[in-house]
Amino acid sequence: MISSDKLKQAYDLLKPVLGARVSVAKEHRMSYSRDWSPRHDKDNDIPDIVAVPRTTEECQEVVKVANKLEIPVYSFAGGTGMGGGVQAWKGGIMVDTKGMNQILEFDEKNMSVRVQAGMTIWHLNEFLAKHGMWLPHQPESKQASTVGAAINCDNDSTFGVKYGKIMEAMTSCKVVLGTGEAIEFGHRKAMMSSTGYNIMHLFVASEGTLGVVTEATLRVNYLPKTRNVMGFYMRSIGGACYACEELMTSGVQLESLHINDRQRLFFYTHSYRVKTGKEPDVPDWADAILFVSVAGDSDMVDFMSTKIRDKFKDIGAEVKEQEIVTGYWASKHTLDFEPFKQKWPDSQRERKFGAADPGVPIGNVPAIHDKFVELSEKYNQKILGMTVYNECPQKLSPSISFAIFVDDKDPVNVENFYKFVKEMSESAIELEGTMSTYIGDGDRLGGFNKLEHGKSFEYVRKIKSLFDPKNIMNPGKKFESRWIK
Amino acid sequence: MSKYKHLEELRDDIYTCVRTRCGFCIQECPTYNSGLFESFASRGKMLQAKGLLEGELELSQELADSVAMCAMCGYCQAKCALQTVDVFKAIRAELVEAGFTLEGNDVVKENIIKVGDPLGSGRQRKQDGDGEYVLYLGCAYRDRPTDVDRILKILSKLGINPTIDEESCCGNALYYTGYKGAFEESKKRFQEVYKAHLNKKIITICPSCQLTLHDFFGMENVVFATDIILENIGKLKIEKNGDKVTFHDPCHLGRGCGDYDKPREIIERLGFDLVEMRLNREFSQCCGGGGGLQATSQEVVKDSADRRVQSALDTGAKYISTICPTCEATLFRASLSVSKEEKKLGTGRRIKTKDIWQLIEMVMMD
Repeated sequence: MISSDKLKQAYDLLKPVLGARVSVAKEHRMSYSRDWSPRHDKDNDIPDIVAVPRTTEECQEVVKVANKLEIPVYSFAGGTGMGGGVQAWKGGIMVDTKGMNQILEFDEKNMSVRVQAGMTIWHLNEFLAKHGMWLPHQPESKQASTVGAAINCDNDSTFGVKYGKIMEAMTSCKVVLGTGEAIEFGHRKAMMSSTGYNIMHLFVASEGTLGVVTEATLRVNYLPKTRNVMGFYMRSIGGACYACEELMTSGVQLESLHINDRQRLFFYTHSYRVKTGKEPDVPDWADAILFVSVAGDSDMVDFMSTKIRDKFKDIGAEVKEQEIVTGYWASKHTLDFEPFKQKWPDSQRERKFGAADPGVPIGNVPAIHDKFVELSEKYNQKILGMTVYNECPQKLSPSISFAIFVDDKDPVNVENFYKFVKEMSESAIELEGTMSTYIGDGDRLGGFNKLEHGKSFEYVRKIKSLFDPKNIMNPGKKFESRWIK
Repeated sequence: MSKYKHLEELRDDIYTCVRTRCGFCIQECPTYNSGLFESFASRGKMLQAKGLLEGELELSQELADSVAMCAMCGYCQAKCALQTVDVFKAIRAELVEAGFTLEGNDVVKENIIKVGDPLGSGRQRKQDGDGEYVLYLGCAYRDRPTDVDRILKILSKLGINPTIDEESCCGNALYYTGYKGAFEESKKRFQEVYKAHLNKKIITICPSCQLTLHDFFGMENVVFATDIILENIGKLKIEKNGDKVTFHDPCHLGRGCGDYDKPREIIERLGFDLVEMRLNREFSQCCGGGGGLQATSQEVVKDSADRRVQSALDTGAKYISTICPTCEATLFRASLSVSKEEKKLGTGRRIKTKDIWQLIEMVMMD
């Protein structure tokens, strides 16, 4: 609980800097009380102050005030996080970074763009498309999710198997640290550096616990001329994984690679159901449904498509109903939903989406899928299904979404969801993997994540105190959990 | 159950948004882009509604001021599967019933109830027609005699000489600003004043009137001008000039009445080169003129209209066209100010606003 005196002082200091873009009115603060993480539907974490800086300098002023008064600061962006990473449960100042949404430099020759971190990935790509380019880091949330959010959350990308995630694109970033200093980290427009330490990398997945990322320089790519998206029913999940690895070894450059279990497909066939009035007919023998895309010049795309079909013909069957493939791709990339019938709300009218997001090595994917089925049953969680995303260039690199439908009207069900996450995380460690690959610690894995880091966790603490000595940046995350004890 | 009866009816949609949080509604929202707080966009307002249902928020003047920041344009609803605009209307209705209103909206309400005209002038225009049609001008046009003269001249060329009689406001502004009781009163007033024509063939020229009469009052005998123009466009002698035109969908015509194609077909049949703005049709961006903002926040209206005109400039069009008196007025002011700014910057970019009636006049040969 922060004293009302402190909050008044903070507001009085920020008002001259931000004018109408700072507020203590509950009407505004209420709007920042939730992200997309599973919790009881009545839960609210309402910040004490909301501030919307438009520049790094304004953001510095906010953090300096917070530092002086020792008030927590949270960076808010797309608000679509699944781990409670922006929940202001310790009170304080919510910095809505979306006000920093300008392109600062477009260097076409060097294929580089400098942006304010509050720009959405969607808007950035609209801009780049005019120049025949794109930022291939493309999370499904890209209409709301920002460049800063991609850095802070290290979220997944639809095209990770070809281009990697945001770290592969970022060459430099500016961060307002917990002290209020604004420091540039990185290597200008060069793609890598072997001098000093790669401190910039620390901000990827830092969840705003080290500072507020306000600007970034990103290497962008030419837009491929054509793309082919294909779906395949596969006999087994493990078989699908190895077949894809072999495909890439053979020289096929996959652009996206998502392996779903049977149940998960139904989450992506909303438009199919709307158009046909029925569920897709999945063959009984299929344990997995694989979606891949290849992109480039049309002759290359045709060639690679033929190779893929050849590879899978004995271990699966192509999804012939184009509506299933189009619907899936709309969910993953185009977001081209029929007006007034967008998928996300319709799919969560009764229960909400929740997920554990471990990463395991290729050979252990079937084992952790078995665990998923077992733990869902144990904790009475309704299975939504698994998707194995692949997020490192040209290799099977599982970043897995084990999704369930949480009954957010039932506190016991929510509690059980986090027990499910806890055991899935423990299983991931046993299977030589990691607890989280794209959601982050948020307010769920903090402290419990020592199980993964062991002795090195002390260095995580030291790094935190180096950048944020007063522990004001997004407290209640990474080092403590509200849900998993 | 909470004490808010209007909101209770929408509880499922409110909590579905809380479960979803996709945020697809935010980035192009006209009021969000002016104010930059989430509370000015749909997702934030849904949390405000949740706060009311749970007793976390109370009705207040501050909430009324915040909720007034919405053009009720329906962009968010087109990006969603929830009845977002109904939720905003419900919050506004709860506020109005609790006495938390905005002065600008109160003046509009009083004017509609007293003189049947939100602007208060009560100006009427009458003429005897020679056919089956009655032209319902609507409040915005009743104060714009020159525009009406143009419309009548064009209708005449299309073979239609409609009757115009005393009118009372359809009450659309009350519908969207939460004055539920006053809206019902205005409906009665409209029905009383217009009783001689209620079953005739009525032509509307304002999308808000069309939406209200046809959809909210259930008057199947009401047709919008685009139908009339298209049906009779062959009667016009046209000298095509091929100028580039972009069309701004009025929210109440497009998302409201579902009429996206007819105005575009008219523009093309007039011989103009139709180009589209980045946001169009179902996902068109509002000019800012709706939802009561005209009466409560001119700054936001200007911001929104300026953004829309900038988007039109990006198409390279010579004209931004529309077919709504409110959109025409806001875009007209914005195209002047934006073109002036562009001149200062030396970009050479400029654009003019011409509604469809003006486009017809431009190419119509006597």
